[in-house]
Amino acid sequence: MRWLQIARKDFDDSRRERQLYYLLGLLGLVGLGIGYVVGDNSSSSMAASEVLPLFLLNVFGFIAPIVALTISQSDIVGKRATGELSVLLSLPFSRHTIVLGSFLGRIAVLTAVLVPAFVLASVLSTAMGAPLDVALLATTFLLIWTVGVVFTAIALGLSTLTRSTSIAAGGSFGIFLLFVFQLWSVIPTGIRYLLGGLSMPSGPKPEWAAAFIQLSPFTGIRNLAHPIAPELLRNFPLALGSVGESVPWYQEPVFAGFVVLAWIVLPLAIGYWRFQTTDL
Amino acid sequence: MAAIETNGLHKRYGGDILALDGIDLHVEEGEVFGFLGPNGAGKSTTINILLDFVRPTEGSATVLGMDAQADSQSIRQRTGVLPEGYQVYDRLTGRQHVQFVIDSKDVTADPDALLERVGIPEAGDRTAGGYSKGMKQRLTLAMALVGQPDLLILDEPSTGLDPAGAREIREIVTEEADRGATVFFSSHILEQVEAVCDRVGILRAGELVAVDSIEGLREAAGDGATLRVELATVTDNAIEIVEGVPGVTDVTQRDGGLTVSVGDGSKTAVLSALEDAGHEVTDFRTEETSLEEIFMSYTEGSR
Repeated sequence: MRWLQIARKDFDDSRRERQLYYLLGLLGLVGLGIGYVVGDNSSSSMAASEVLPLFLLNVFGFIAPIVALTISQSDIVGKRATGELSVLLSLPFSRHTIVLGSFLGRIAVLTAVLVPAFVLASVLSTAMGAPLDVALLATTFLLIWTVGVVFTAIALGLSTLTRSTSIAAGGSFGIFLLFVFQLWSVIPTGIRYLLGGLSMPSGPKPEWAAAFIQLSPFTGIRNLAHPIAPELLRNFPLALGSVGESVPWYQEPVFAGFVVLAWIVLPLAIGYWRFQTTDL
Repeated sequence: MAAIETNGLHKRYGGDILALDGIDLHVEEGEVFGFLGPNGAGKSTTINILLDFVRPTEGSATVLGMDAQADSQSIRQRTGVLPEGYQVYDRLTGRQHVQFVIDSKDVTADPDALLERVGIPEAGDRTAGGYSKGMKQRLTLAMALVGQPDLLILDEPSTGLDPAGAREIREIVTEEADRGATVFFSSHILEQVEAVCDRVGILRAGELVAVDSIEGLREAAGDGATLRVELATVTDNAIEIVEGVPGVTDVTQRDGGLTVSVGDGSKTAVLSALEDAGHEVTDFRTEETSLEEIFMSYTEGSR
């Protein structure tokens, strides 16, 4: 249970550095804002129970990855830079305990700042007369939380991989550009441009390009959850393409499940592999 | 059994910086071993390899009979470490610091008793952000003592301490050794290890240039002791007489007296020989080769 001690310390660090409180305040305000807007329009045509979940999904689909990247990219590399890692590793903690514990600690921070925001939004909008669909709201939370967990894994993997705090910071900005700014969707076009002898690709998109685009974390999560809440996910933010009537193999929920799992496991595994072979 | 054993330890950083150049170290169980050398000689690199913070380029190390890399976690379970340049957590109290170590080692210990032992009982409820340098160092020592470790690795433990504090650390080291623990501690000041160490190892530019007891080092350093004899009048005859005394290795005339390098046991022989020959000895004193000189001769000299 040593990873639990690391996880608790990691969470407490966030509290002691006030980071947790700033995020609670900031995300709480966003939650209240959403709740107010939804509640304020509850008597108009927007008076449907999926308005609040849709609103939360779109706003937090954007905020959750940014929060996850911000709080996680500096976690391990920062401890390495300050020498804190040497202290932890002079105690009977193994390096994988540090990585796993930090991952769980960061997820705890993420959860602790997301839950109040969702609660505030729901309570305020309901108090102002908007309808509440608890099941749909819970599904929305789970989706946003999964987005956060994936980006926590990516950022923490990066933080474990490198010894330079600036590479970790720059890299997480790159991750932001790639997935939130959706540069990912341009990559197949870029490859086709290069393969086609530096001329703009024309004609229908080949299957590999379509499949590649479906490998982004947001798209993977959308494809995974689509059968559960199709009406909610029709407009899942930051997911590429759309899910049609008959889904191709790369949009199958099982395949998407592996994609999402890979985005969590691979960054951590690569980061850990590098971490355990290098000097502190 | 050896508490620490290294074989041909090499460490190269980034291809061209050689930090360690073949360290063969053998520290017996229960021994207090001083690891000496100027800053940058490779002391911390060696300690970092023992703790698996750093991997050797060549060679191997065992600690408490276990492989430093494969069994690192078990080694650290039984080892108390005072890391170099440790940064405390500003917002945690002294007690919380010690408790964290207790939890990590899964042992039972009283944090307050440990803080008391290192001389900072008042630190229990205070957050470490407001500690003086010396208090931080004492807190770190308290953390290293948790769970009565079989091995204590102390990297420059006297940093930031006043002479009284440094003495208290030496007392604790002695107590720990009496309990049966092996103590391995590094310093760049020989005087700090002199009083407590059974043996010292001197490191220079990544090489272990000497391993011996303090007395052994003194002897090996050659000159042994120097005798200064003041004479009423210095004559060539006096010099000849002194040179004829067994054990004398060198005689120089300076300021109306003689400076005589002698081996053990012949200092009084020098004085009686002079007096027997009718020379009037007005004053004499012996000067032991200072530890500092020995240390310098190893770390800077042409040895």
